[in-house]
Amino acid sequence: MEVGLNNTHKFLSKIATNDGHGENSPYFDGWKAYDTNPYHPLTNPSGVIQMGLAENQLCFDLIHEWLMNHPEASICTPQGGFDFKEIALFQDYHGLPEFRAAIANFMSRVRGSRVKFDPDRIVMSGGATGAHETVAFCLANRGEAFLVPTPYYPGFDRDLKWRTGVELIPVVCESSNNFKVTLEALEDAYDKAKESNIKVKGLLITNPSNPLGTFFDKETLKTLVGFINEKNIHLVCDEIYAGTVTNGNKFVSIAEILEEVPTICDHNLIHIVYSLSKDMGFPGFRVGIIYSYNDTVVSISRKMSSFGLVSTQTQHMIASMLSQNDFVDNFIHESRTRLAHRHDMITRELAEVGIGSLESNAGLFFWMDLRRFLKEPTFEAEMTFWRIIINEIKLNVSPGSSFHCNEPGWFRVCFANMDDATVMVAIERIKSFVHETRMLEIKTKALAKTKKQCWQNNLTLKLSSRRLEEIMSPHSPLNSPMLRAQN
Amino acid sequence: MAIEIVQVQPSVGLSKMAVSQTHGEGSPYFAGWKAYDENPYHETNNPSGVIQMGLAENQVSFDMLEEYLETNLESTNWGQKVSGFRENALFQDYHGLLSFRKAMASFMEQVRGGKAKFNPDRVVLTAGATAANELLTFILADPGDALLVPTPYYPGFDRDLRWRTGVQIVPIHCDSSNGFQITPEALEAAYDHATKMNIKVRGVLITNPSNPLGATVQRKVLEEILEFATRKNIHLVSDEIYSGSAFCADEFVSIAEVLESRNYKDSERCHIVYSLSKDLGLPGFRVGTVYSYNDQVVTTARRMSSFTLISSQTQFLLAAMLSDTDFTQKYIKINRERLKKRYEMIVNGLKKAGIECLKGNAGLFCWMNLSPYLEEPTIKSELAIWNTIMHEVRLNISPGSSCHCSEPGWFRVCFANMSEETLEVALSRIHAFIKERKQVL
Repeated sequence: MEVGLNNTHKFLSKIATNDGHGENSPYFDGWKAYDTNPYHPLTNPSGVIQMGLAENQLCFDLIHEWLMNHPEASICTPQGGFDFKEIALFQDYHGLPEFRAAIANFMSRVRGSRVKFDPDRIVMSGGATGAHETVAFCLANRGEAFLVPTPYYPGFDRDLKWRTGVELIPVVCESSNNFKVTLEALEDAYDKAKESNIKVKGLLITNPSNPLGTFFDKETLKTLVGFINEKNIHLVCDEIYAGTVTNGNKFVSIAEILEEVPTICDHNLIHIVYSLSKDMGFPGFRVGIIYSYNDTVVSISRKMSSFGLVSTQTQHMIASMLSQNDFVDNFIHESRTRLAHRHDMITRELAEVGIGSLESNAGLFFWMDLRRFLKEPTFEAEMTFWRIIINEIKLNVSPGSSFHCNEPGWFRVCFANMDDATVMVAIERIKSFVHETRMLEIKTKALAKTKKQCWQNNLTLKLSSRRLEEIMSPHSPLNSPMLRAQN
Repeated sequence: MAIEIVQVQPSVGLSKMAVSQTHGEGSPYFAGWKAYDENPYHETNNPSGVIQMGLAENQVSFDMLEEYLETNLESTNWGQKVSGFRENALFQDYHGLLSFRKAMASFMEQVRGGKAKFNPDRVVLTAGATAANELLTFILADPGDALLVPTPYYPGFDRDLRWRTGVQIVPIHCDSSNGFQITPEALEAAYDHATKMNIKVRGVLITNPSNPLGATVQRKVLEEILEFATRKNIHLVSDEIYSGSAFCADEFVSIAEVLESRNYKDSERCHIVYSLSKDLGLPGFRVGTVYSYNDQVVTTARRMSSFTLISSQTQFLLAAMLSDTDFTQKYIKINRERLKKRYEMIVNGLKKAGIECLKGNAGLFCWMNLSPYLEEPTIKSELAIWNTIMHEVRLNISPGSSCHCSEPGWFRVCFANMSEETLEVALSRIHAFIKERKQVL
């Protein structure tokens, strides 16, 4: 029953035949490597460990326990079954009122109850993926643009641009000031767009940031709001990682800014994108949320939500779960604690072998600094080294270039999508690699002195000489005092 | 379903799409829903309220679904181990659960009495047929291009096929002279009309069985449409969402069968849309699918489905249910019988009142002819009588004009979204109304 590919390129639409789906990005190459050789502690202990997937797997025990104690949350149990028909028939795009109320409640509690959310502004979407696309459809015409600070989540290239025809213009952030978004960078990007005759309709920020794992301080947020208000453009705040902030009380949501200083801007310009995929660890359930302070956007995005409603079966379960404040508060607290522990453990261990990262306290990942491992400060060198990390160290991490980072050598490393044992294996592999490379350098130097070539046979490491050359850069951390001290 | 009529503010800085009316909610199709929402019928609490006959829902077979759930607790719940839940909650692969795709393919085969085979690897999952139709349109046509759609058609297409895609609908006019069947002449006329307007036609989209006609498309007509599409080198989309609602299994012929019988010649231009909203009565669960015979369309559709995936929780439940072939066989058969019974009940009841319907054999509605009762054969008169029926007779039915019917006086009347008792009440109201009307005319 196999049907051959239609060979007329023009048979399908431009959207169907362009690269807008974004899957040719290196972000996905690592996944392919993982898929073909996935790590398993028993059946494949030398496989690739997936550290390129920002998932939160640390608190399923809490959720499971709650579900076991609340069979009525499922419409497939005797306790919940009498709701089955009503739930199965309900297709109103407003969503179940109790679902909206529960989401508003959860969003508020994630922000320490410092702000309230209006259930009538809660609009559903097919995950945050669907939410971003819908918001772009509402705010911008084909050819118009959003400003996005770099580095940013690679999925935005697909979500905001593919079917909408909207452009993304980078707001370049630099490591010199920890990748903070500056007014200068914003103005720069805005002016560049103007020069290219591209109309800017909005600024999209992810707060907390993916991939940085940092969040915006209040002053910066206020500056951003001032900027968009002055330019009369929209501000879309993706707060999908709001619940992953480890020192929860420090995080400032755009909602809080609006409440603190209501006159700071035209509220019609402010829109929040949210989801349960990261904070709760439910990416499979496709619970995306658009929360807009603009009535027209609420109304229109709600009509568009027909293309990506949340299954009422799921709405029903979420409504039950997230309206229980004891559970919610405990979950948020526990999740933060476990994430903090994991984050601290892994960054500390890596720092011990001279691998640094951007200081962060949010997200399901950290932003690893491998600049000094690169032979040259180029993206080619970054790619080369990345292939070594995948193929030899056997870790899938995401190269900074796939996030449009302006500086080579940064990598996003996810840590919440595996158990403790696997984290240790990953850490050990990195440490071994650093150690072995250091040993190799020592040996090479020693042997070079005596001008003997038989070192190649003595090599206990399975390093190719080509690879050795690439990593033995003058910038190698192997010359760091910390390592010398160990040896 | 609550519809808001929005006062569009002078909204600075939104897209053209956001301020256009292409979402279609200004149509009378939706105004009737509003009247219902404000005064819904209830047999004890509000016996004089508006009876909803404008919603194509299937409520006649829930008992079978509920019985299945009661006797299959194990397979439909995640079980005692946390790993069952975790795995499901994390699963976001746009290929979808393999077990679910297999179950969907198998169910689609059963609905067609095994007369066509479906490959699970061609099943692309979307959150409802609404999403499936939009997604396919994005893939098959560029903004400004057109799809040819036979009239009368489901009002939702105006939104689903056009709103965010920028694609146009050019109608293929069908009329009562031959039971609203699609003819080769009508196909050609529509195509020529588009060409004259400098609009590029990319495909034909049919609904089989038809909404709002409630009738299956004959095999001969399917072959003619396929021949037409092949000759013009355009696509053929067959929305078969009502395939399980054909009263006699033999009377429904799927495009899949036509393709299989020709060894899949010309199949790379064919795509089927399906959903569980009508046949299983589960519109809330958002289960749609694009089934394409074109590899590139499958790949692209799958990528695009990222915007509209089905909740893994729901995939899990339905994978269990639909792979139980004893259950599905029984369900499909009994569901058909009950729908047939309902159809006969309403058509006979209308006949007694002096109202004829198109001879139908599928769907959750009948296509009622009130043209003899119009003051004039105009849309204005159609809407006048519709208004009366809504506010005085208190029935929400859908006027043919909202379905782009070229002949005034036809109405779509749903019969499967209520109890038999309520249907009796509706029929007696119509009876009284027509009696009165006859005296006036």
